Amino acid sequence: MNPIALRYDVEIGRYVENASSKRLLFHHIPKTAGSTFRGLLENFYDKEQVCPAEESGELTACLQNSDSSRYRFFAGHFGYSTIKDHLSDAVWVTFLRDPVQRVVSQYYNHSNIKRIPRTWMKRISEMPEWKQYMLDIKGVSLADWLTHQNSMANSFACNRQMQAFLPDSIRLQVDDWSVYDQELVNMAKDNMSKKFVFVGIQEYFDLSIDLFALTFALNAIETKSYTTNLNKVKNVSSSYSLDQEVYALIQKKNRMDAELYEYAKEHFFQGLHVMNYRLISNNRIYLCNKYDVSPAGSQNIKEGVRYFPYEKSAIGAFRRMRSANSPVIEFYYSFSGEKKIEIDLLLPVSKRVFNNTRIRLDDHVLNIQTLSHNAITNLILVAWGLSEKVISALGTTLFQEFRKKLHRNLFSRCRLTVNVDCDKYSTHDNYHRLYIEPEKIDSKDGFNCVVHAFRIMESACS
Amino acid sequence: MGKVNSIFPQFVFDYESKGFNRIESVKNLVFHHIPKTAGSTFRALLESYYERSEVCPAETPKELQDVYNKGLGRYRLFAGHFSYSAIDHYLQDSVKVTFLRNPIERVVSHYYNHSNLERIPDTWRKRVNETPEWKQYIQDVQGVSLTEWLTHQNHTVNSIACNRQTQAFLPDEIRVGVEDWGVFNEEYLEVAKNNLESNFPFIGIQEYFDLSIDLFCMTLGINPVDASAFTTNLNTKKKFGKKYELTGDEAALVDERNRMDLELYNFAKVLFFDRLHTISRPMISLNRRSIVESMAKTGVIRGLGHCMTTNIGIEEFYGVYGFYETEQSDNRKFRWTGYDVPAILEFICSLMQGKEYLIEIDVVASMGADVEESITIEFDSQEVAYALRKEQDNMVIEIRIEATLAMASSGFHQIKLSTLLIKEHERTGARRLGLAVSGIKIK
Repeated sequence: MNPIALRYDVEIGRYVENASSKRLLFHHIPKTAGSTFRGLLENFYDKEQVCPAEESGELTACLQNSDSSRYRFFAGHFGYSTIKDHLSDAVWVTFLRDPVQRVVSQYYNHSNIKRIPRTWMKRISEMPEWKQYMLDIKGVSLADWLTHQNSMANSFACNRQMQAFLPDSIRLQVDDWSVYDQELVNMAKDNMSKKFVFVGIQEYFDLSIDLFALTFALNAIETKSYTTNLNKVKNVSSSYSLDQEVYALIQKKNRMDAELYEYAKEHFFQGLHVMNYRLISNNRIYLCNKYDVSPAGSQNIKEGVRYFPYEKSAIGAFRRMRSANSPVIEFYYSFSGEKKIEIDLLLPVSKRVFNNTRIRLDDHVLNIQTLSHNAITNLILVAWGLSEKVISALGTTLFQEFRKKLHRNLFSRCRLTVNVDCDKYSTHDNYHRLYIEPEKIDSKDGFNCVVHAFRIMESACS
Repeated sequence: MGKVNSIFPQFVFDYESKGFNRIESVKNLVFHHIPKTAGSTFRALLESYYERSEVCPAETPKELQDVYNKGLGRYRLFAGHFSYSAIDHYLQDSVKVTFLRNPIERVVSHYYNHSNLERIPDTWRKRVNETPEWKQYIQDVQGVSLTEWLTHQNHTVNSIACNRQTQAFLPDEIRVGVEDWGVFNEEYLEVAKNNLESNFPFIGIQEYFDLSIDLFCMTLGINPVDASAFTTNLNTKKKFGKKYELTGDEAALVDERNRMDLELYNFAKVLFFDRLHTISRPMISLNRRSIVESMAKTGVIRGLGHCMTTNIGIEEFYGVYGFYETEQSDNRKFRWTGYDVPAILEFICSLMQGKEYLIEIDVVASMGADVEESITIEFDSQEVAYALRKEQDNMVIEIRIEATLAMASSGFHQIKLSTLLIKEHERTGARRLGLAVSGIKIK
C-alpha cells in the first residue's frame, strides 16, 4: 500500500489525496533514528519499490537507470541539493536528534570500525576522501575528533544536522562548521519547516511515530514491533555519560544544531497540538455515540430533542460564549425530512457581529435563512444573571445607569433560522454539535454573544 | 426552573484497562493545585464547566475540612492548595487532576512572590493575616535573599522552598515527621511517585501547557478547548513565564535543596508523554477511519462499489498493516501476520443494511494448531465469531456479518486479525509469525 496516499495539508487544514505515484523520501541524518524508522517505512513498500541508493552519488546514478520509475521510496544520507534537484516532487520526511547525543553516537561509530556496516565499508574503500578520514581519526579521542583538521571530521562533528538543510552553494563556502552563523541557522530552519511534511524527534520517538501516522492518516503504529523486527536491536534512547569538559566542548561546537533542534522540537509539539484537535473532537463524537450522555434532568426544547448543555448547565439559564472559544451546543437528534433550527441570541456587541455569524452543524456550514432583530432590553439583564424580579425592583433609573455603564449601544434579541438538509445528517449517529461562530471581536469582557435558546422544528418552506 | 447539576466529568480514561470509564453518577472534581503551578488559567478553564454555586470556595486544607464538616452540599469542583491527606480523606471518590512545573522555575517564582508583599493577592492576604504562623512567615521572608530563603530555619519557609511538589503527594503521617525538606529521601520520593501516578488520571506539565490541555480534553472525553481564551480572560497583573537570572551558586543550591522535586518532575514528564501516546493510539486509528470514510463518501477515494461476490487478493486491499512483505509460492501471493499486532486488512465497498455477508479469509499456511486456536477477529471494531474450514492445501477462516446501520453507512471496512506468534526458526533474525494470508472472498 502507499503509506502517503493521504496527507494532512496544514495550510488548508484538511486531508488531501496524493497521486498513487507520489514518492516518499526519508532524508536520513546520520545517527538519527535511522534504522527503526526506515524499517517501519520499508514495510509499506514492495522490495522493488525501494531505491537502494544511500548517498548522493548513488542516488544520482540510480535515478538515471531506465527502470528508476518503479522506485517509490528513497532513504539515505543525501545532500540537500541532491534531493532538491532529483526528488523535489516527493514527500519529504526527516528526524532530528539531541545534538550532543548525536555527536557522541557518531564519534563512537566512526572511531570503531567494527560498528560500521559492511555495505558502508565497501563505499568507504572506494572513496579516497573517506579512506583518508578513517585513517586520520583512528584512535583519536572525542575531544580531538571535535577539533580535528580533517574537513570530514569537522563536518561530522560540528553542526552536522543543520548541514542537511543547506544547499551546496552555501555548504561549499564554509571552512569550519563549528563557527556560529545566524544566517545559516535561519536558512536551515526555513528549509526544514517549509519543505518537510514531517520532522520527527528521536527523543520523543513514540510520539513522533504518532505524528507521522496522523500526518498521513494511517492506523496507529506500535513502534515496539518495528524495533524488535530489526535484525540488530539498537537502543535508541540510551544516553552516553560524558565528562563535563567534553560535554561543554560538544555544545560549543554545535550551537547551530542546538538552535535548530530546539526550533524543531517546538515545531514538533505545535504540529502534535494541531493534530490533537482532530483527535479530541473525533473522540468526543465516538464516545457520545457509544454512550448516551444527555443529562437525566435535561429538558426537551422541542418534542424529540434532548438538549445537552455543554459549557454551562441548567436549561433556561443563559449560555455564555467566549470570544476565542467557538461555542458548542451538543444534542441528540435523529434527523429526517425537512427541518429548521431556530437559535435565539442575545447580543451585547453589535449588529455587525450578528450579521457575520456563522452556523455550523457538525461538519457543514448552514445558510442562514432568516434573521430577525428586536431590541429587548431587559433580557440582557437576565443574561447577566439577574432575575426578572430583580430587574423590576431595580427601577428605570438604575437600569439606565446600568445600561450606560455597559458602553454598548445596542442590546437586542435576535433569532437566526437555518434550514437543515437532513440527508446529510441521516446517519446512524444521533449525536450532533451545533457551532455558533460570531465574528471574532476583541471584547474586554471576553464574550460577544449569548445563546438564549434553540429549537428544531418542521420546516415550513419545503 | 430547578437547577440541574453540571454533568462533568462524564468520562475518564483508565490507563490500566486502556479504555474510557463512563461516569454514571455525579463525581466531584479535585484540582490539586501546587502553588505557582499553572494555576489560574487551568482553574478558569475548570470553572467554566460549572455553575458558580458548584465551585467550592475552600483553598486550604483547613478550609476544606470546615466545608466538609458542614457538608459538601452542591459543591462539585474543589480547587485549592490542599494537602494530600485532606484530599484523600474528604474527597476520596473524586476525579483528581494536578499540574507539575519545572522545580527551579517554581521555586524562584514562589520566592519572588512571597518576598514581595505586593505580589500576594488580596484574598490570600486576608488568609495570611488570620493565620499566625503564616503571618510570621511572611514577616520573616520580607527582603531575604534567595539563598537565605532556601536555607531558612523557619519551618514554613523550609517546606515552601524545598521539594514543595513532592510534599503535595505525601500523606500527613510522613509529612509531620520531616524536619528539613531539603534533604533527599528515596523512600518519600517513591511514595510520592506512586501516589501521583495511581491517583491522578490527569497530570499536566506547565512547560507543555497546550499539550497538557490536549491531554486533559482526551482524558475526560470532552470537546477541544482553546486554552488561550482562558488565559486572556484572566484579569491578572502577573507577568511570569520569564526566566529568572540565577547565579551559578544559587542555581546549584536550588537544585541541591529540590532533588526530590527534580526527580518527581522528570518522572511526571516521562509519564505525561507515555500517557499522551497511550491515549492517542485508538484515536489515531479512529482518525484514519473518519478520514477514509468521508473521502470514500464524497468520491475522492474510489472503492469497489457494492460488495457483491468479490475477491480481494493480498495486493489489492486499500490498506494492509502489520504483515511481513509479500511472498509467493505456486503463483499465490501471500503475507505473514506478525510484523505488528493486530494485522489489518482494509477495503472500501458498500454493504446493505440487514443483509448477511460471508467473508472467507484465505490462509495458505499457519504456524500450527496453537496459532489457529488463538485467533481473534474484529470486523469494523466489533469482535466476530469465526469458523475454520481446512481444505487440501489451505485453510479458510469464515466470518458471517449481518451489516448493521453503522457498517452500511460507512464504505470503509477493516478486518483485524490477532493470533499467537511463533518464531519461524531458532536462528537470529527469526521472524515471529502467525498466519499466511493470500486474500479474502466476500459472498
